[in-house]
Amino acid sequence: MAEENTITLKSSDGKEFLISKKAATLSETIKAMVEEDNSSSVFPLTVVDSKTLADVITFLNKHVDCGDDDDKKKSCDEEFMAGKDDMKDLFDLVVAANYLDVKDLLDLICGKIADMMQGKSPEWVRKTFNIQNDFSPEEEAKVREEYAWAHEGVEED
Amino acid sequence: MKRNKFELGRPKITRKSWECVSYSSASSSSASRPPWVELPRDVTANILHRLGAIEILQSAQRVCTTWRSVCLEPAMWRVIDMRNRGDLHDMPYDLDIMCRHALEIICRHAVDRSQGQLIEINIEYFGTDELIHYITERSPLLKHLKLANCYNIEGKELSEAVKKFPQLEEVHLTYMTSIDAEYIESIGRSCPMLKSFTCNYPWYNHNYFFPEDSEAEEMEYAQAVAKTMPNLRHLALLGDKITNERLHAILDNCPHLESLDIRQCKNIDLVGDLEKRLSKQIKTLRRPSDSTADCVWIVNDDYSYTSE
Repeated sequence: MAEENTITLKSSDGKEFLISKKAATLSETIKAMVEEDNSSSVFPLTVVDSKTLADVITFLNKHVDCGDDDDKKKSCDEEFMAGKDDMKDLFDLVVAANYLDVKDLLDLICGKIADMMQGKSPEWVRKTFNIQNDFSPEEEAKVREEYAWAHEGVEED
Repeated sequence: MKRNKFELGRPKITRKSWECVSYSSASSSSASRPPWVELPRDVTANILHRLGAIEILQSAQRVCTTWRSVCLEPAMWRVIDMRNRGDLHDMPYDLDIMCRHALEIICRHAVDRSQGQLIEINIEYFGTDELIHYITERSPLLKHLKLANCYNIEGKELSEAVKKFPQLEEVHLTYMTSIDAEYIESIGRSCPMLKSFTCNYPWYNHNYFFPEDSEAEEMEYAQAVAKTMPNLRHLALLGDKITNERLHAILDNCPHLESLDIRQCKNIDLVGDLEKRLSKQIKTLRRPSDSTADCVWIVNDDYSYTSE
């Protein structure tokens, strides 16, 4: 009986996690896998490592427990995100949330990342997110010119 | 049937797996420096869109060519959020004018980028009749219009503008002191599809600042709603002078209404018939005495009685 309601997810590094079908199928990708092949009980997720998968499973279980209670979900989400500020962890989570197609988790992580960027300069963003400035001098001049409108009123004076 | 699902589901998974495989190899080689720029475009768009129009144009699009091209896609501009810190009031007058002017130019630029695909726009603390006109000429698909503290947008222009948004379903007006009830009526008549209407305009704040305005005129907001918006699902009249009698009229004339926010409506007495009717007809009710802690734009609740 219990077995019918649970499945096993296997991470890219071979660790197995038991999870209720109800929680697992909050992921549209897992839902599609289960519908495709309802005779299996072990589903390998070759692109999600065990650390990230453990986090995702915590999130899914919490959301199943919250049901339709949005206030409860909100406080669960806050608790889930507390202390999550390592860039590698956030990257792995956002990639996993996208791959597993868990909209609530994807939005939560994207929101956190946007909060980090809010009010920061392009230079700060490049440094923090490990992004090369790949504009050619001409392109950069063009963008600068284009956003100069924001200062038109100010510079006139 | 099952076979079909298999075939529909599979390519999606395969595509995502492939994308992910390329990250894991890239990220494992550079340990704690993950390749953010390689995120799928829709994930990058999901993140950057949250920054709001001003930050996207002034900062995010200048980070790299990939982000710039994401920021040039019309899809990024279907929802334009021009929220700002609202601290213009604290600035010297000249600077205030210049900032409003700059915000207006940014907003026009954002509307241009939407290339006619604009669905929702949110404007706060700036905006003129000319800006509204600019949007009407370029946004035939607009469904949601949210304005707050835009003192230079007149009721007449706005009521004319909404005629050019045939798909308009939602209008939010917060502290739009220049929109009189007659224009609310005109907006209602021009937008038979209107499903959600908000006119948050705490009259006690208004009376505090403009004590000469008559009470009678402000009463008409509720009447305008009852008269012209029969298809409403959601209504917020926070801080309105609406009375029990007028609320009954709204309940009579808006049979589909399912959520109602009458916080700070101090003339409403939730008793007897009205109480019963609301609990029967309305799924989500915010009562006159409920907290307004989530309304950052309420200056100070204490005005309510000092102005009387």
